[in-house]
Formats: sequence, structure tokens, C-alpha cells
Amino acid sequence: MFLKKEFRILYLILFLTAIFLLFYFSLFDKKDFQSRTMIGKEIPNLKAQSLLKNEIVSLKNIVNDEVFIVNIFASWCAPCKIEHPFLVKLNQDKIKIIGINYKDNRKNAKKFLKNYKNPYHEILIDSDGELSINLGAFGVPETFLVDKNFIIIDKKIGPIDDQFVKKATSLK
Amino acid sequence: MRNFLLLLFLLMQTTSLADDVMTRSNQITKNLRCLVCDGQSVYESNSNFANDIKKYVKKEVLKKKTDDEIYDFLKKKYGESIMFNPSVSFKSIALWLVPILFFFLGIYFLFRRIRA
Repeated sequence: MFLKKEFRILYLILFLTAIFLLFYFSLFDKKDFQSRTMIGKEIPNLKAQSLLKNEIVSLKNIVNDEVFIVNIFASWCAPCKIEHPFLVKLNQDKIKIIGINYKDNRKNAKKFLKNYKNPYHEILIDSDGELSINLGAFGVPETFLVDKNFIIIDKKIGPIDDQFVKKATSLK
Repeated sequence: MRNFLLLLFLLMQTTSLADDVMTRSNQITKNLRCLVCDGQSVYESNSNFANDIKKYVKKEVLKKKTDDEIYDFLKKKYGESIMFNPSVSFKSIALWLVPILFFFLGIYFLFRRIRA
């Protein structure tokens, strides 16, 4: 009976310690919010005016049967300049990148691409942010990795990094 | 004179329609959470994200879409967290019921102990 009571106290102490440690270590967790809502869903067939050609283009006519990337960018967005070399690298690795030019001035966007190289296969103009809403995006830059069946398999809010490039190239 | 009155009537109708659209859009955006802000609704926020959603909602209201259609589309894109009042699901029921269950379990064990 005595031992049973001792064990009960021991279990209680262990339980409370576990809860304390769980809360304590969660304080130091890196909070990197990445919404997963659109992952696993089919990418909408975005349709808009092309930035470089004078025509309306639709996503599903640009890519077929290949892994590709959709990247939301703007010339006024500073983090877009940080991620740009990674997009150029992906383009060199023969991964098709579709750009969504978010609320930008056409002239500035073209100048941006001239200064930093154009890694995009096609660029759709998103003048009022509707294409981005359709993608479930939060802002610029934001990048979606899409598989051959048009299913979004990953997304990155903020500038992409080496890890994202590695993941994309491994799926090619 | 008749033409003037007709013009005045049309002008009043248009203003009233614009007011209706604005009122409905505002009501909808007040129920939507700005996902890039701290505790603000889309209506209150001036962030790029909130402004895009406001513009989208207004456009859909003009297209005569119902509130539910607009909410459903946004939930599909951003998840349940975009709503200030999330709909009832298994998870939300569990969240409410588990503490109550623990409370009654506690009372049960307390009574058992007192009786013993």
C-alpha cells in the first residue's frame, strides 16, 4: 500500500515534469509559420496577361508533364532580390519557373529582369492581387513547387533557399 | 424637368447600390482574419494582404455571390484560420469537450475517494 502511494506521487511528479519540459522547450522553438492549406491541392489554372508578350496566357498551356515552380515576385520587393540568384540557379538546372508579377509597374518589372537576369519561362501579370489570392498566397515573395500532375507539393513564404533548390532539383 | 428628375432618381439608385455593396463587403471583411497581422481583421488592416482580400470581396459582392460562397472560397485557399468564427468541426468539439470530460472525471475520482 505504501509503495503504491509512493509510486503514485512519482508518476505525478514525472507527469508534471514532462508537461513543464514540453512548455519550456516550446518557448525556444523556431516559429516559422508556413501555411500548408494549398499543399496537396491542384494548382488553379491561372490565366492572365503576359508581362513579356502581348497575349493572355494560362498556366496549364505553358507547362506539361513536368515539375515546375510558380514564384510570386515584384521589382519593389527587397527579399525578391535576395532569392533571385536561387531562381537563376533553378533555371540553369532546367526547372521551368513561372513568375507572377505582383502589383508592379511593367517598366520597373522589365528593368528588374534586365538587371538581375530573367529566370522565368513565362510571367503573368497580377495587377490587383487576385492571382495571388487564388494561389492562397500571403505576399511577396512566395514560391510553389508543383509536380507533373499540377499538384502543389511544397511552398515557401519568403525568399527561397538552398534547401528549396535541392528539393526542387531532386524531383526533376 | 422630367429628364432631370429621372437623372436624379438614377443617381440616387446608383449611390444606394454602391452603399449596399460597401456595407456588405465591410460586414464580410470584419469576419475575416488578417493572416499577416496581429489580431486584426481584414477590415481593420491596411496591409497588402488585407487590401487584396478587401478588393476581392468587393468584386465578388458585385458579382452577386453569397456570403457563404465568398467565405468558402477563402477557406479553401487559406484554411479555417481566416475566419474569426471557425465552423464547428471534430477538432473544435474535442477542444471544448476534453476539459469538461477531465473536470467530470476529477469529480468522479474525488467522490470515489471520499466514499472510500
